Amino acid sequence: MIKVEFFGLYRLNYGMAEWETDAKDINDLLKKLHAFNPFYTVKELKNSIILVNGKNFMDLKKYRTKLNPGDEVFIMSPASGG
Amino acid sequence: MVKAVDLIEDIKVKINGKSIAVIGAGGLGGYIIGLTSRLGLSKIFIFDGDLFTTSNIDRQLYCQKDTLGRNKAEVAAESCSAIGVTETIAIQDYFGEEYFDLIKDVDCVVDATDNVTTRRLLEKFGEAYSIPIIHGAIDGMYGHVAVVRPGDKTITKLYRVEVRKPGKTFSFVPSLIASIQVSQMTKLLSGGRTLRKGELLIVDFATSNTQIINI
Repeated sequence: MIKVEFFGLYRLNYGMAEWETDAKDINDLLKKLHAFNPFYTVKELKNSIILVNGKNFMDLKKYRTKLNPGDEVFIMSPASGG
Repeated sequence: MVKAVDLIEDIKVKINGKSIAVIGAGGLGGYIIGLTSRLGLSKIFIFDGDLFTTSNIDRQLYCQKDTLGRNKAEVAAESCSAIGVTETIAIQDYFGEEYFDLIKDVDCVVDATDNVTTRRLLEKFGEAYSIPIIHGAIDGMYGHVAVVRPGDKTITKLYRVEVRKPGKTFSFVPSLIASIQVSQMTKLLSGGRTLRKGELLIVDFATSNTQIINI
Protein backbone atom coordinates (compact mmCIF):
# COMPACT_ATOMS: atom_id res chain seq x y z
CA MET A 1 0.00 0.00 0.00
CA ILE A 2 0.99 3.62 -0.56
CA LYS A 3 0.47 6.09 2.28
CA VAL A 4 -0.97 9.43 1.12
CA GLU A 5 -0.72 12.41 3.48
CA PHE A 6 -3.06 15.33 2.76
CA PHE A 7 -2.19 18.88 3.67
CA GLY A 8 -4.07 22.19 3.70
CA LEU A 9 -7.47 22.35 2.01
CA TYR A 10 -7.21 18.74 0.85
CA ARG A 11 -7.12 17.61 4.47
CA LEU A 12 -10.27 19.63 5.22
CA ASN A 13 -12.18 18.80 2.05
CA TYR A 14 -11.36 15.08 2.12
CA GLY A 15 -11.98 15.04 5.88
CA MET A 16 -8.88 12.97 6.63
CA ALA A 17 -5.17 13.40 7.21
CA GLU A 18 -4.04 10.14 5.61
CA TRP A 19 -5.29 7.59 3.13
CA GLU A 20 -3.87 4.28 1.94
CA THR A 21 -4.25 2.90 -1.56
CA ASP A 22 -2.48 1.06 -4.34
CA ALA A 23 -1.34 2.94 -7.44
CA LYS A 24 1.27 2.27 -10.09
CA ASP A 25 2.23 5.91 -10.64
CA ILE A 26 1.15 9.50 -9.83
CA ASN A 27 -1.32 9.58 -12.76
CA ASP A 28 -2.97 6.46 -11.43
CA LEU A 29 -2.98 7.83 -7.87
CA LEU A 30 -4.73 11.07 -8.90
CA LYS A 31 -7.41 9.12 -10.80
CA LYS A 32 -7.99 6.90 -7.77
CA LEU A 33 -8.16 9.94 -5.52
CA HIS A 34 -10.83 11.49 -7.75
CA ALA A 35 -12.78 8.21 -7.85
CA PHE A 36 -12.55 7.96 -4.05
CA ASN A 37 -13.83 11.53 -3.59
CA PRO A 38 -14.80 13.61 -6.66
CA PHE A 39 -14.57 17.00 -4.86
CA TYR A 40 -11.45 17.84 -6.89
CA THR A 41 -11.17 17.04 -10.58
CA VAL A 42 -8.12 15.16 -11.85
CA LYS A 43 -7.09 18.38 -13.64
CA GLU A 44 -7.17 20.29 -10.34
CA LEU A 45 -5.28 17.53 -8.56
CA LYS A 46 -2.58 17.76 -11.21
CA ASN A 47 -1.74 21.26 -9.94
CA SER A 48 -0.94 19.87 -6.49
CA ILE A 49 2.41 20.05 -4.78
CA ILE A 50 3.32 16.37 -4.58
CA LEU A 51 6.28 14.88 -2.78
CA VAL A 52 7.17 11.21 -3.15
CA ASN A 53 9.27 10.10 -0.18
CA GLY A 54 10.17 13.78 0.36
CA LYS A 55 11.13 14.51 -3.25
CA ASN A 56 9.16 16.80 -5.53
CA PHE A 57 7.58 14.68 -8.24
CA MET A 58 8.39 17.43 -10.76
CA ASP A 59 12.05 16.61 -10.20
CA LEU A 60 11.35 12.89 -10.72
CA LYS A 61 9.29 11.66 -13.68
CA LYS A 62 6.34 13.98 -13.00
CA TYR A 63 2.98 12.24 -13.47
CA ARG A 64 4.74 9.06 -14.59
CA THR A 65 6.71 8.78 -11.36
CA LYS A 66 6.44 5.11 -10.32
CA LEU A 67 4.99 4.27 -6.94
CA ASN A 68 5.89 1.21 -4.92
CA PRO A 69 4.37 -0.36 -1.79
CA GLY A 70 5.59 1.52 1.27
CA ASP A 71 6.05 4.81 -0.57
CA GLU A 72 4.86 7.95 1.20
CA VAL A 73 3.14 10.61 -0.90
CA PHE A 74 2.54 14.13 0.44
CA ILE A 75 -0.06 16.14 -1.46
CA MET A 76 -1.24 19.72 -0.95
CA SER A 77 -2.87 22.50 -2.93
CA PRO A 78 -0.92 25.77 -3.01
CA ALA A 79 -2.65 28.62 -1.15
CA SER A 80 -3.33 31.70 -3.26
CA GLY A 81 -5.06 34.21 -0.98
CA GLY A 82 -3.56 37.25 0.67
CA MET B 1 29.92 35.64 23.33
CA VAL B 2 27.29 37.69 21.46
CA LYS B 3 24.46 38.73 23.73
CA ALA B 4 20.91 38.54 22.39
CA VAL B 5 20.42 42.26 22.96
CA ASP B 6 23.53 43.02 20.86
CA LEU B 7 22.25 40.73 18.11
CA ILE B 8 18.91 42.58 18.00
CA GLU B 9 20.68 45.95 17.91
CA ASP B 10 22.96 44.71 15.13
CA ILE B 11 19.96 43.64 13.05
CA LYS B 12 18.25 46.98 13.65
CA VAL B 13 21.33 48.87 12.47
CA LYS B 14 21.60 46.70 9.35
CA ILE B 15 17.99 47.20 8.25
CA ASN B 16 17.97 50.90 9.03
CA GLY B 17 17.71 52.77 5.77
CA LYS B 18 16.41 49.84 3.72
CA SER B 19 13.30 50.21 1.59
CA ILE B 20 10.63 47.68 0.62
CA ALA B 21 7.44 47.37 -1.41
CA VAL B 22 4.37 45.58 -0.06
CA ILE B 23 2.06 44.32 -2.81
CA GLY B 24 -1.44 44.18 -1.36
CA ALA B 25 -2.79 45.88 1.78
CA GLY B 26 -5.59 43.46 2.69
CA GLY B 27 -5.27 40.39 4.92
CA LEU B 28 -1.56 39.65 4.77
CA GLY B 29 -0.58 43.14 3.65
CA GLY B 30 -2.28 44.96 6.54
CA TYR B 31 -0.39 42.96 9.14
CA ILE B 32 2.88 43.15 7.15
CA ILE B 33 2.61 46.94 7.00
CA GLY B 34 1.67 47.12 10.69
CA LEU B 35 4.77 45.13 11.63
CA THR B 36 7.25 46.72 9.22
CA SER B 37 6.18 50.28 10.07
CA ARG B 38 8.03 50.05 13.41
CA LEU B 39 11.23 48.36 12.20
CA GLY B 40 13.17 51.46 11.19
CA LEU B 41 13.03 51.01 7.43
CA SER B 42 13.49 54.20 5.40
CA LYS B 43 10.65 53.75 2.91
CA ILE B 44 7.67 51.49 2.28
CA PHE B 45 5.76 51.47 -1.02
CA ILE B 46 2.24 50.09 -0.57
CA PHE B 47 0.17 48.91 -3.55
CA ASP B 48 -3.55 48.12 -3.55
CA GLY B 49 -6.40 49.14 -5.84
CA ASP B 50 -9.12 47.70 -3.58
CA LEU B 51 -11.49 49.54 -1.26
CA PHE B 52 -12.44 48.17 2.17
CA THR B 53 -15.83 46.45 2.30
CA THR B 54 -17.75 44.83 5.15
CA SER B 55 -16.55 41.40 3.99
CA ASN B 56 -12.97 42.38 4.99
CA ILE B 57 -13.76 43.29 8.59
CA ASP B 58 -13.26 39.76 9.98
CA ARG B 59 -9.55 39.57 9.14
CA GLN B 60 -8.01 42.75 7.66
CA LEU B 61 -6.17 44.90 10.20
CA TYR B 62 -7.06 48.33 8.82
CA CYS B 63 -10.69 47.55 7.98
CA GLN B 64 -13.03 49.20 10.47
CA LYS B 65 -16.29 51.16 10.37
CA ASP B 66 -14.68 54.47 9.51
CA THR B 67 -12.44 53.06 6.77
CA LEU B 68 -15.18 51.22 4.83
CA GLY B 69 -15.21 52.44 1.22
CA ARG B 70 -11.65 53.82 1.44
CA ASN B 71 -8.64 52.57 -0.50
CA LYS B 72 -6.65 49.93 1.40
CA ALA B 73 -3.20 51.26 0.49
CA GLU B 74 -4.16 54.80 1.47
CA VAL B 75 -5.49 53.74 4.89
CA ALA B 76 -2.48 51.52 5.62
CA ALA B 77 -0.07 54.31 4.62
CA GLU B 78 -1.83 56.79 6.90
CA SER B 79 -1.48 54.43 9.85
CA CYS B 80 2.17 53.78 9.05
CA SER B 81 2.92 57.50 8.66
CA ALA B 82 1.23 58.26 11.98
CA ILE B 83 3.84 56.13 13.74
CA GLY B 84 6.42 58.47 12.31
CA VAL B 85 9.30 56.06 11.77
CA THR B 86 9.12 55.36 8.05
CA GLU B 87 8.30 57.29 4.89
CA THR B 88 5.26 55.67 3.30
CA ILE B 89 4.09 55.92 -0.29
CA ALA B 90 0.61 54.63 -1.17
CA ILE B 91 -0.10 53.60 -4.74
CA GLN B 92 -3.86 53.29 -4.99
CA ASP B 93 -3.74 50.82 -7.83
CA TYR B 94 -3.03 47.15 -8.51
CA PHE B 95 0.63 46.32 -9.13
CA GLY B 96 1.52 46.05 -12.81
CA GLU B 97 4.51 46.26 -15.15
CA GLU B 98 4.05 50.04 -15.35
CA TYR B 99 5.27 50.23 -11.73
CA PHE B 100 8.48 48.23 -12.18
CA ASP B 101 10.56 51.39 -12.59
CA LEU B 102 9.04 53.06 -9.51
CA ILE B 103 10.22 50.31 -7.14
CA LYS B 104 13.37 49.15 -8.93
CA ASP B 105 15.60 50.40 -6.09
CA VAL B 106 13.85 48.66 -3.16
CA ASP B 107 15.77 46.05 -1.19
CA CYS B 108 12.97 43.50 -1.30
CA VAL B 109 9.31 43.03 -2.20
CA VAL B 110 6.80 41.43 0.13
CA ASP B 111 4.08 39.43 -1.61
CA ALA B 112 0.66 40.01 -0.02
CA THR B 113 -1.41 39.74 -3.15
CA ASP B 114 -4.42 37.48 -3.55
CA ASN B 115 -3.92 36.00 -6.99
CA VAL B 116 -1.53 33.89 -9.02
CA THR B 117 -1.25 36.31 -11.96
CA THR B 118 0.26 39.08 -9.80
CA ARG B 119 2.59 36.60 -8.08
CA ARG B 120 3.96 35.57 -11.47
CA LEU B 121 4.46 39.26 -12.26
CA LEU B 122 6.33 39.72 -8.97
CA GLU B 123 8.63 36.84 -9.87
CA LYS B 124 9.25 38.46 -13.26
CA PHE B 125 10.05 41.78 -11.53
CA GLY B 126 12.43 40.08 -9.10
CA GLU B 127 14.24 38.36 -11.97
CA ALA B 128 14.50 41.57 -14.00
CA TYR B 129 15.89 43.75 -11.20
CA SER B 130 17.63 41.10 -9.01
CA ILE B 131 15.35 41.81 -6.08
CA PRO B 132 14.21 39.05 -3.66
CA ILE B 133 10.51 38.41 -3.05
CA ILE B 134 9.17 37.34 0.34
CA HIS B 135 6.30 35.12 -0.78
CA GLY B 136 3.29 34.47 1.44
CA ALA B 137 -0.16 33.05 0.74
CA ILE B 138 -3.13 31.87 2.78
CA ASP B 139 -6.21 29.76 2.17
CA GLY B 140 -8.74 28.78 4.80
CA MET B 141 -6.84 27.43 7.79
CA TYR B 142 -3.36 27.25 6.29
CA GLY B 143 -0.67 29.32 4.67
CA HIS B 144 2.87 29.22 3.38
CA VAL B 145 6.00 31.37 3.12
CA ALA B 146 9.08 31.24 0.88
CA VAL B 147 12.04 33.51 0.17
CA VAL B 148 12.27 33.76 -3.61
CA ARG B 149 15.63 34.95 -4.86
CA PRO B 150 16.26 35.73 -8.54
CA GLY B 151 16.66 32.45 -10.39
CA ASP B 152 14.83 30.33 -7.80
CA LYS B 153 11.59 30.07 -9.86
CA THR B 154 9.68 29.10 -6.72
CA ILE B 155 6.49 30.86 -7.85
CA THR B 156 6.62 29.07 -11.21
CA LYS B 157 7.04 25.72 -9.44
CA LEU B 158 4.33 26.46 -6.88
CA TYR B 159 1.60 27.61 -9.27
CA ARG B 160 1.66 25.56 -12.46
CA VAL B 161 -1.91 26.56 -13.38
CA GLU B 162 -4.57 28.81 -11.86
CA VAL B 163 -5.98 27.55 -8.57
CA ARG B 164 -9.42 27.77 -6.98
CA LYS B 165 -10.47 31.05 -5.39
CA PRO B 166 -9.25 31.05 -1.78
CA GLY B 167 -11.63 30.00 0.96
CA LYS B 168 -12.69 32.10 3.95
CA THR B 169 -10.21 32.51 6.76
CA PHE B 170 -9.73 33.92 10.27
CA SER B 171 -7.62 36.91 11.37
CA PHE B 172 -5.04 34.67 13.08
CA VAL B 173 -4.12 33.06 9.76
CA PRO B 174 -2.92 36.18 7.86
CA SER B 175 -1.44 37.69 11.03
CA LEU B 176 0.86 34.72 11.70
CA ILE B 177 1.83 34.18 8.06
CA ALA B 178 2.53 37.95 7.78
CA SER B 179 4.65 37.79 10.92
CA ILE B 180 6.73 34.95 9.46
CA GLN B 181 7.14 36.91 6.21
CA VAL B 182 8.36 39.98 8.13
CA SER B 183 10.79 37.86 10.14
CA GLN B 184 12.20 36.38 6.92
CA MET B 185 12.41 39.85 5.38
CA THR B 186 14.24 41.22 8.45
CA LYS B 187 16.76 38.38 8.40
CA LEU B 188 17.26 38.71 4.66
CA LEU B 189 17.89 42.47 4.86
CA SER B 190 20.32 42.04 7.77
CA GLY B 191 22.27 39.22 6.19
CA GLY B 192 20.89 36.49 8.43
CA ARG B 193 19.94 32.95 7.51
CA THR B 194 16.52 32.62 5.88
CA LEU B 195 14.56 29.87 4.17
CA ARG B 196 16.70 28.53 1.35
CA LYS B 197 16.02 28.05 -2.35
CA GLY B 198 12.92 25.92 -2.90
CA GLU B 199 12.04 25.70 0.79
CA LEU B 200 8.37 26.29 1.54
CA LEU B 201 7.40 26.78 5.17
CA ILE B 202 3.81 25.62 5.58
CA VAL B 203 1.56 26.20 8.58
CA ASP B 204 -1.68 24.26 9.03
CA PHE B 205 -3.81 25.84 11.75
CA ALA B 206 -6.43 23.08 11.49
CA THR B 207 -4.00 20.44 12.71
CA SER B 208 -1.39 22.65 14.46
CA ASN B 209 1.18 21.29 12.02
CA THR B 210 4.18 23.25 10.72
CA GLN B 211 6.83 21.94 8.38
CA ILE B 212 9.30 22.91 5.68
CA ILE B 213 9.05 21.06 2.37
CA ASN B 214 11.23 21.35 -0.72
CA ILE B 215 9.41 22.19 -3.91
